[in-house]
Amino acid sequence: MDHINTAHPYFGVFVLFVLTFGAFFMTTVIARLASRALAAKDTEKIKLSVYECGPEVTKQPNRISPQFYLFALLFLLFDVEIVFMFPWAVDFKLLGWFGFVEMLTFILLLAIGFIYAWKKGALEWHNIK
Amino acid sequence: MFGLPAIIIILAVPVFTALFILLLGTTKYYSKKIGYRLTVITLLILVYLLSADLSTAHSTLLFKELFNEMLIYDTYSTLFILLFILGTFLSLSIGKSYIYKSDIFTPESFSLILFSLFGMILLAMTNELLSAFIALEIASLSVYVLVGIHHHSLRASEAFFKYLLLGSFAGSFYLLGLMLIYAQVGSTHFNQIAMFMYTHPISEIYLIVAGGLLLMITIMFKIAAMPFGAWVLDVYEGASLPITAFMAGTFKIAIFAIALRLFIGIFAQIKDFYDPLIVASAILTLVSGSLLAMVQTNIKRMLAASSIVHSGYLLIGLSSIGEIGTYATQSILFYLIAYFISATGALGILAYISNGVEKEISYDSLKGLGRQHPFLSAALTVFMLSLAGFPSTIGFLGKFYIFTSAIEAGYTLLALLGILAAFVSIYYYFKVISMLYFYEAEGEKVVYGEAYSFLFIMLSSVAVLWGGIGTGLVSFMPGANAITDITHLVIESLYIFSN
Repeated sequence: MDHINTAHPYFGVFVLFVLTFGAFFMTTVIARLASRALAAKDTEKIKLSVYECGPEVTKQPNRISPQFYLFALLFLLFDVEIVFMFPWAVDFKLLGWFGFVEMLTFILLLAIGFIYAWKKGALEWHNIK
Repeated sequence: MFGLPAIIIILAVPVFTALFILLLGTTKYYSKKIGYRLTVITLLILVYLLSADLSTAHSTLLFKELFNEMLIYDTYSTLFILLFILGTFLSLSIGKSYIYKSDIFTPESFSLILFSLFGMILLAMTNELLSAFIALEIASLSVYVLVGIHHHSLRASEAFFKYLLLGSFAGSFYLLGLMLIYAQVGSTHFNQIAMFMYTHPISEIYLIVAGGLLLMITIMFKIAAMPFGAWVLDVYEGASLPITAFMAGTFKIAIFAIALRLFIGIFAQIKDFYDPLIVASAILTLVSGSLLAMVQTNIKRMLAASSIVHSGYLLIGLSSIGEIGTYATQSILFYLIAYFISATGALGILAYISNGVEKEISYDSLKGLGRQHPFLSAALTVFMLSLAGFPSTIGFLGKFYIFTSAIEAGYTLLALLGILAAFVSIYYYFKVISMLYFYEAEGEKVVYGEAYSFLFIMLSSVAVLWGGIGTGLVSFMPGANAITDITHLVIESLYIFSN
């Protein structure tokens, strides 16, 4: 046992980890064994029969149209765009032409995504091609 | 060498073609033929631009000021990018008959393939952990969607959800590991991490060890090494066949592009910590992959399970990378090349004979194909022989190098286990061959279309044979020895100090 480094700063954490794991494991095992041993076992005919009834299936009342999710995605597109544009606008003079071209590229890429969504009909209600 | 402008083209062309196809797809001018041709032409242009760079060992940091030394372009990345492009090209070309007949290949699918290719190209060039993560996620996200692009099929949806949830979860481990490494080093660049580890004693770098372990979990998940590889069967089965070929042949190699850089650059110095883990994972992967592959009745699932076994062989290679693991690295690179062409070809043939309909191809449905389609069956036989590692194919040389490098590094028992797994693999690969030739046909002869796909099946099966025996027959034509020379240059380029 002398190769285990008990002086290591994390040794206590390790012991704790092992102990908690063991305690958790033992608790579940004991609980299972106890409930098996203590449970009353009746083998009545009615109890073992198949349960065949239930409430009628109703339509879920609070269903959300998938269109909302599309709108949320598109909102995210422009939301993130603003997050990047705002610091750029603040430091516009410092960044100069380089920043300007970078921002144009960024907006161009987002615009392509926007045009794609538009053309696909994502902006129209309930009319996805 | 075409210089820096050409590299920008290599990065930009896939993205802009993808965006163009995406926008064109919403207009009335688009047809599937146009989308397919644009994609293939793009890939050919990229191959033309890159192929000259393989002849020398070179290494340049791309746009040092702009990207803060994040991207590096060396022979290593050139080889991997070429493999990705060729893999995509082959799976698209062999899968052409499937793509044209099936109705699930929308314009978005071509764009997504190109986006994924862009992510993989970036992954091969990356020199830093954070950009590696972004590149990995670009590639993975596209592949997730490609798996689920057949959204009316329940099987594909199941595969998509499984892959998306498990993949994103595994990706989060990478971020945690990245955070731990950054906490210790204060940088995410590979050279700085390596430098830090070189200058500090082992007792001061526990955070790097823990972080590296977490990085390895993600990598092992993505290459389907066994404690984390249970998703492979369902996902490969649920995806449509050309996409499965793309994932098995190309995407898997992409993960190795980053894994090898990590193992050579960072993990080699703390090899003692990881060795037992990789060895254990390799053993688990080989044993359970072989068992899984043996019990499958569906050939697509069998190939998926056997791809787990191939990850096991590659893990043997990874474990035998030492401080300067030149030979082991070379063997892994060779094996990757051998595996990519065989796996793409085998899954491509399945796509070819399924005729654009997503159905289960069982062993029985191949009965008597040898009589009806002699050339196709010969090609399938060649791919199976190569995957099993039969002599005279490129797969044999790959396995030979992997096992000899393992023995050289002192892992004789591991190599023996690998050889045993190769013997076992003969069972499930030769079952396919026996179905082709030793049984009478049950149905009528089916005519498969698209001579173009057939041509590429034949070309890749010839390449598999050429890699195995070509050099021995015709000395002036490049074969296996050319691949060895290239892998040597690739490793040389990793040790060039670039600025």
